[in-house]
Amino acid sequence: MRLYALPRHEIGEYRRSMLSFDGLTKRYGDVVALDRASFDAPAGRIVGFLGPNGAGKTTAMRCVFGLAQPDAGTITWDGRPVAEADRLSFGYMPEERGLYPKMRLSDQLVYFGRLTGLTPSEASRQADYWLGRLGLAGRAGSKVDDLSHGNQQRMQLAVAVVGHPKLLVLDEPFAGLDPLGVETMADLLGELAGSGTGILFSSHQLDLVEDICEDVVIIDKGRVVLSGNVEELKSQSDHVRVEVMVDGRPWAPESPEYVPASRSVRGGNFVVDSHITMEQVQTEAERSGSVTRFSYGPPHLSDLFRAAVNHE
Amino acid sequence: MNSLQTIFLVAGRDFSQRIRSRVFLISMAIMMLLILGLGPLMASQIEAATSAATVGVIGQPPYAAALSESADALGIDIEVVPVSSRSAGETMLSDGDLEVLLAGNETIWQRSVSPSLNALVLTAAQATAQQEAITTLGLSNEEAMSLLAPALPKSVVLEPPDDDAAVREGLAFFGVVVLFMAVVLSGQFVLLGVMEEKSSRVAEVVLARLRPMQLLTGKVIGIGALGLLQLSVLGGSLYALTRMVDLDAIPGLGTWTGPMIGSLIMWFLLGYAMYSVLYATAGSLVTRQEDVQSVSWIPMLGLLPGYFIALIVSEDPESTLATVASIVPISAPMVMPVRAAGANVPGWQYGLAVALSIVTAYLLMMAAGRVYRGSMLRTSKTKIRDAWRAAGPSRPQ
Repeated sequence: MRLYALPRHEIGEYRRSMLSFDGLTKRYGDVVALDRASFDAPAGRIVGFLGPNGAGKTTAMRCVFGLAQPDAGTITWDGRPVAEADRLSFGYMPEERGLYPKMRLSDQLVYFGRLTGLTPSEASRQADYWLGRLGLAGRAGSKVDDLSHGNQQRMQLAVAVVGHPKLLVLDEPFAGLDPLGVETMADLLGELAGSGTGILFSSHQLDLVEDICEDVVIIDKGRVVLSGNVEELKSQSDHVRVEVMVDGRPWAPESPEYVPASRSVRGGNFVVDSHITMEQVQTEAERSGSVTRFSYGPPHLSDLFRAAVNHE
Repeated sequence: MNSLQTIFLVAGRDFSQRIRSRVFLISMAIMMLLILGLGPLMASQIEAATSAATVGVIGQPPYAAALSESADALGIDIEVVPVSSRSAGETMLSDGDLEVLLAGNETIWQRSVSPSLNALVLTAAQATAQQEAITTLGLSNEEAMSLLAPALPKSVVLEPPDDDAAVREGLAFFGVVVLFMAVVLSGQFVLLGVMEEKSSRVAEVVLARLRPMQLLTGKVIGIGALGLLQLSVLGGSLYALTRMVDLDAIPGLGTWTGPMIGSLIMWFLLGYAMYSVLYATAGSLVTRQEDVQSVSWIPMLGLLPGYFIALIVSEDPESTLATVASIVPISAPMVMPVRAAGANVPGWQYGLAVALSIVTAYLLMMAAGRVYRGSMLRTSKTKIRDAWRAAGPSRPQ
């Protein structure tokens, strides 16, 4: 299920550096965590990795680093199975954050930098750079234990990016961040992708993913149910998102063919199958009164998500 | 970066982080105080065992003059002290200032009769009586000698007693206490270090970059180096202590302290190599300080019996128990130094004990490494069996 419709001229470039999951399968007893999952995370792109809780995202990410062993399937980098040396050029932020609680930030960053193979002087140079870049320069001598939650998050990211990884795997990097933190993180990811780093990150914040990702992979019960370029997926979708106001009030159809878009939206926003014409919807709406607003467009990522993981 | 560099990077972190920690500095201070306290105590005991016996004499019993001469002949070191009265002498006896009080034709002891001193007094009395008889009979010295000292069989001793044995055994006994403490302390450091990595979840970040065995080996080496440093400083201060006491008063102390410290350091390394991985396994099973007690028994299961056997062996280094326990790897690091101090250990047995310890350390490392692999990424308390099963026999690259 390779759904990357890349422009021809880009294919050669991306084939060189790409993380590919191919038929990845992993069982924990009776629980199937991954079921023949296949998808790619190319260099220089930001890939959003989506799925309900327990869909297998964390397991897939752990497999990249050898922290979990797939029962079947392979993970390749540049077309070859991921080797230990490759992992040194991958950065990782696990879902369960973890740092040495009593180690000073600068020491800790130098240590992780050196684990990626940096020389002592290069490691300390990069430690200084990333502490500065993430606004932690003033806390270089502090212990992790003494940091605020937000600063611990930044430090966690610093550990993931020290050594300038070719690939970043981030498990819920935005969880627990305030809006400003989200912005800083998103900017940084964009910058890293711009410099050629491949980024695979999981998230439940679909609007955010829609904003910053070019590509998404949606996984459910261990299976990849949808993957590809966000815009293309939207345009190819057989759903249309419609917003209707009748007599100045949000309107929602009663017909079962109209799927309510989201429970959180106060009516007015819904998704219809594309075989239903807008004329039909309009006619339906006009029966309730005078239509004061009528707009439609491609579905949101959250609509695609809901349709893809629809368990009914 | 090769595997060895990675291991030393890990070891370096553990060493440098821990040497700055308060726990380390305090434990070091406590051990130093123990040495400084126990050292003089040991010295005084050795001195008491080897110093001259004090013999109190009231007035001038006829045999008093012969005492020193007889003592020389019997090889007993005595000091003769004049005592003014019997009551004064009895006070000195009860104070421990005298071993025996000679008053007229009585020898007075505080609790029990010392056979050697008693023999000395009897010999002196006999010699005095003989001298009087010779004088009375008007015999010449030659006649007297042939009468009193017929050609007695000459004693030949096949295994002459080892004057230094007591000192060596004392040092070994003291050394094994230090060795046991050093292994337990370093082991606890390993346990807490591993537990910290697991409970803080940093293990997942670290293990994304290196193999579990590299992390485990690095930690064991780093903390082992710290333990070695600790032991060397303590051994050095012990050595310095023995240099300060009167070496002539304690024959063998100067000669044997150095080699004994060397042997203890070697056995510390072997014992630590075996037990540290068990401590690491224990640490990988728990995430909370409260649970430490519930896993500390794992290494103690081997350490404590070894320690107690070593204490028993120090009394009887020639026993079968000593031979067996000094070769069986689990107890060898503590028993062998004690046994070797008190008995002649055949070279092959010593070599076998070292070899078995190394092999056992390696096998334990493999087995413990598997449990460690299987439990480090679990977020809660883990059972050994579950961790063993989860890890699988080896991690593919």
